[in-house]
Amino acid sequence: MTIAMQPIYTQTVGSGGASTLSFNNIPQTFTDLKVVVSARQANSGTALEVYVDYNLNSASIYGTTWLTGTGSGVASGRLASAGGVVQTFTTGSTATANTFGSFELYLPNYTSSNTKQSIIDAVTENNGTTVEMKLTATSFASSSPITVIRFSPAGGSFVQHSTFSLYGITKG
Amino acid sequence: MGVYELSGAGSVKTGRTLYTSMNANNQFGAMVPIQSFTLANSTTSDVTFSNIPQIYQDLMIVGFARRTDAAASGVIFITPYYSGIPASPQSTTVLDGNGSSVSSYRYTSQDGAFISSVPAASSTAGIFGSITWHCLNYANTSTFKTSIARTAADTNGSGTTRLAVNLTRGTGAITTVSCSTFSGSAFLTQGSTFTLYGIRAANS
Amino acid sequence: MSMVWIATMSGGGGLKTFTNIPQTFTHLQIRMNNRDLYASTPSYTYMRFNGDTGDTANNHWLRGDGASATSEANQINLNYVITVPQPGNNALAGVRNATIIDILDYTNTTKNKVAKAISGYDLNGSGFVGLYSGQWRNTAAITSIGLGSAYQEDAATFRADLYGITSSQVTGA
Repeated sequence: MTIAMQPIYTQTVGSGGASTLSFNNIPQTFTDLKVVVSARQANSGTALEVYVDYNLNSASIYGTTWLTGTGSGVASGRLASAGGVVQTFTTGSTATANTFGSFELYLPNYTSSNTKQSIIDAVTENNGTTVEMKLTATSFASSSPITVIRFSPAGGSFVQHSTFSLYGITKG
Repeated sequence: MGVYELSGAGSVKTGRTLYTSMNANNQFGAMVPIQSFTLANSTTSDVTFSNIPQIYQDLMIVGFARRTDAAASGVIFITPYYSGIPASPQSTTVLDGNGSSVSSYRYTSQDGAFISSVPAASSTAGIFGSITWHCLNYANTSTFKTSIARTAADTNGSGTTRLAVNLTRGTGAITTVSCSTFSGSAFLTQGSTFTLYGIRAANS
Repeated sequence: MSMVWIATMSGGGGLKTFTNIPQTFTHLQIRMNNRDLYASTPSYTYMRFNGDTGDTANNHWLRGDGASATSEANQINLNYVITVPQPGNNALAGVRNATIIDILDYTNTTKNKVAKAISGYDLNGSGFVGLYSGQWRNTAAITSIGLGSAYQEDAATFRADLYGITSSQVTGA
């Protein structure tokens, strides 16, 4: 019986924090990739952005469409021809202490020569009204298969105990 | 581990074991691939998963799709059904962001499940939509079936992000799921893929 | 393998609990399909960790009702981590909601526990679909998860499956 989902890599941020975090040399033997992240950033803010790029490629070939809930309102926005994926969030230093944001990135057909389209769902939490809840669609207009995924915090660094787990899903 | 029922809301009474220890040493994992389609051309409007084994707890589909019709986007209907299902049994509640506004809307009493929207031929070439779809308790013969899906369809300057839920008003076990444009003139673009997975649980 | 079924619970009554959750996984997922016997729609399913009934939780949602989208802070200082709407007993017969809840790093003793869920139901004329979140302001490892409504889940059709998800020992850095 084929095992569809298998863990590939996991990284946990140490005591020094991490200014970026990358999964390198991603095996090309799966069908889809899934990343789950539990992270917090060092800078001030209840919710801070995480930038994602693929293959260390910062060319202006990323598009993002998002739908946001803030705990009091909703909005939708877009960024085109950017140098990375935006509008994924984790908690920052002024969110409830010890609270880490949670997001999942699902990337079907990551070895395809077509534009890569990822699904990202992100929540931050806070003992207050204001949070960031995101349903995000992102496109990466590269024909190259994904071999590297890099996460960069808008808020200085990821703090200790932030975790990033990469899984491969195979269709059999 | 055990599973206990605490009877009496807000209080703890004598626990009663409902299940004994589970098979936490299951070597196969919960997610099992069942079938996959990759379209080699752009001449079909529908892929269908048929004769779905009834041995899983839930179903999951991962789709990567585009339509051939001359529009910016179009619906991919992911429709569960079974032989003898009542007419027009599908209804869908949608939550959409289109890059400038948020909307929620609904389809009622439809033949197909309006659960996803992907790029079509008028959008930038090579951009497909990504879909993850779940149908819980699909083999249950006493309940209607609820499925939920996320779709990402950014086209670098336009596009949508969507979360939707669909009701299939039939108590029969789901034996077939169709992924379709529901159009005789709009096809699925070459390179579109759909993969069906079973999610295992007790006794499956 | 990385996703493994741990346990199933079903049956009516009030809060039901997964107990003695193995501490050998990294993340948890709950897949839930349920309906309430309470004669009001929506009713709500609640989730609680380690039996904590103190005001140690808060939750939020982003959802659509088929006409408009809203985002709210349900309340601050609650005693349940997530609340998702479900059909009540007066809703179209046979309908259950579908909910998938993810809880990351549930054994980590330096983090408060955050849950993320997608959930929805449709009644062919009404319904909800949304993204839900909640936190338990406690760094203890999760050893039990309580689920249920304040009233009474439909005994014939409540079902929740608990899955454990492992992670890799390789960093790929």
